[in-house]
Amino acid sequence: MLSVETIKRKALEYGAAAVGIGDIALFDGVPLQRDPKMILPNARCIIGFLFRVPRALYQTMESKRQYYQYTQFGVKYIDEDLSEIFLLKMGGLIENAGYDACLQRNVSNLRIKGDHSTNPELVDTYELVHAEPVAPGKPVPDVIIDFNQAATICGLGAVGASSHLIAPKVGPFLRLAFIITDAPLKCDAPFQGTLCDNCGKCMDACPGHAIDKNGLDTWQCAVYYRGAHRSNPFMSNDFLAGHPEREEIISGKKRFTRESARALYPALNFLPSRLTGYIPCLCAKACDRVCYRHLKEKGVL
Amino acid sequence: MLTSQMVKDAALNAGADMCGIGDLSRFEGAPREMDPRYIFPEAKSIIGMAFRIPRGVQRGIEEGTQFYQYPSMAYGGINEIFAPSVLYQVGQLIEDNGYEAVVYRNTGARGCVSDMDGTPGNTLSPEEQIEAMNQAKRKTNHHRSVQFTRAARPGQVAPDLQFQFRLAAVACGLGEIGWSKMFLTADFGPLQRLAFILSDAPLQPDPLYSGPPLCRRCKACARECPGGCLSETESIKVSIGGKVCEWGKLDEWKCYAFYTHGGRKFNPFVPKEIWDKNENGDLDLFEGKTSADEKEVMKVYRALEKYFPNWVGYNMAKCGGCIRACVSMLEKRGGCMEGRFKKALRTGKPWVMDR
Repeated sequence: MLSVETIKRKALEYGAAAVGIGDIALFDGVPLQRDPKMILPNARCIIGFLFRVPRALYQTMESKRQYYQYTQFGVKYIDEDLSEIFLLKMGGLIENAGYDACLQRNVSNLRIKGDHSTNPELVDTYELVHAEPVAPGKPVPDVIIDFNQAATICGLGAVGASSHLIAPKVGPFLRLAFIITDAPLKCDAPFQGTLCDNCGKCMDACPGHAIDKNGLDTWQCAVYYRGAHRSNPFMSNDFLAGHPEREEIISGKKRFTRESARALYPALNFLPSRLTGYIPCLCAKACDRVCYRHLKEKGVL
Repeated sequence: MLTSQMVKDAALNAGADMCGIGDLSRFEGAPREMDPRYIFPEAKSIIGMAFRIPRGVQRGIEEGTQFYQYPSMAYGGINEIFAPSVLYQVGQLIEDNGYEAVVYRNTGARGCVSDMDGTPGNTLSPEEQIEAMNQAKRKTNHHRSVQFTRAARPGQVAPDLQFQFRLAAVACGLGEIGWSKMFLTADFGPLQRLAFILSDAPLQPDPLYSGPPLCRRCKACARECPGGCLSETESIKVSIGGKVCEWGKLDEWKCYAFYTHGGRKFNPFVPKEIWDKNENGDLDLFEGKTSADEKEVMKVYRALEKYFPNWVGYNMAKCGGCIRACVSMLEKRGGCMEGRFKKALRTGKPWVMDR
């Protein structure tokens, strides 16, 4: 008999920092392209797993001493290695009890049809613009669940003003993975409220002003995540030399669209780490660092 | 003293779902280019491990709603990350006992002979086509870089030697090969991936699988292949360790094309009008107007790349799916997967796009 206790104990043993179980019914009404029931129609719940990103990876970026480890360890390793091994082990546990385990790792470089946003962490993202449903009543593939929404339903945390999930103990220093299952598990309550108090520090800290009251502009973020700002230690004096908007760009005042952001990408090649497809984080995650510090000082974490 | 049981316990504890051990003499008669004894002539044993493919990653494909997680989690994730981590741990145990452990993860296709058609140097595989495409753009396609390989000494095989994983798994007693050419186990049907260790440790081998036939010869795999890539009548027979393995004759190049691009009725990522237009006859292979070979497959890839770019990761399985057809049949009464899950994978007719 598969129990909640077994799942949570094993999840922590295998490397998760927190685990929560969300009621699948709480996804009622979400767009079909975000609905886990479109993947597993008889799903009963979704199990959310939170992996913490070591805090020191942010500190070394803040002190401008080390950037490589955050991208390779804090992003790529957790999303692509740790969570994959983790999900395969957890999936085996659930399958052994006779239930389906639809593993959901972070779909980092795809966007559902209609989602024009991007993932600043990747070389680029591809929107499935040409996709069509396989039959009437089906959503356009691929269905990609909203990880932040799913984490809230699982009781793990809630989104803050930066559009990033904020969770107890770790603040925004986290990554996520999920399993959709038909196992009849007792669900946790969804996360109530949010730890974010709208202090606005994330907005002030972003060198590209990518966050405003409407949340995160992912294309604006992508440009400055890649280091198009004056505080980037890898920027040489001849960066964008002769470009008519150079000053506007490196001061973070220029607003970017999908097209103008992509047009600037080739110039933002400050570190040679493209082999893995992950972009070095040259804004040093200023938004998340100030968020964490603020919540820590408030005693929330 | 290192025992077979110690090796098996280590493999299962590290995360493998099955572990079996074969005597390398079972490869007697194998083509030299596919005989693992040429990798490590002192080896006495081959240790085979099976890693289950969670059925849940096939669920989205069965529903026609999510294709990404299978290649990511259960192809790349197992072959590239999970299985190597287990090989590493088991290898350490073997080394700690004074023996060699030649770890051998799934390499996709990098052998001195093609695993597509047996020809020298062709090493394209459907799953790793992304890399092949990138190589092709630089005019240094895989087969060109490998075809010049040569044996370092007389009597050796040219590197890299890639052995037949599914037959090796048979040699380890883990299961049988089905009509689909997929490897089947009693526990997981066709849902597993494989990895191996060659060792000079004198381990007690397991017997070859001799239980009830795992393949029901229903040939649903052949019927549900959208490309008709698998023959219902013609077969290939191979003997390994005295056990005769028989599977349907597979048109590998055609399978290659259909696995990754599905054809007009099975690929929701390419609009109907593109299939209708069939510009330059690039999609003739899917329309049954030409036979499949590497050249035709490359035409397909170039024509359809923009509809699912090659940099997003492992190619997604978009075909109707011999693997899901097989699972659905093995879950029916009397099949080896009967009762394994509380609910069957297939509860209605499989989807086919109305095009």
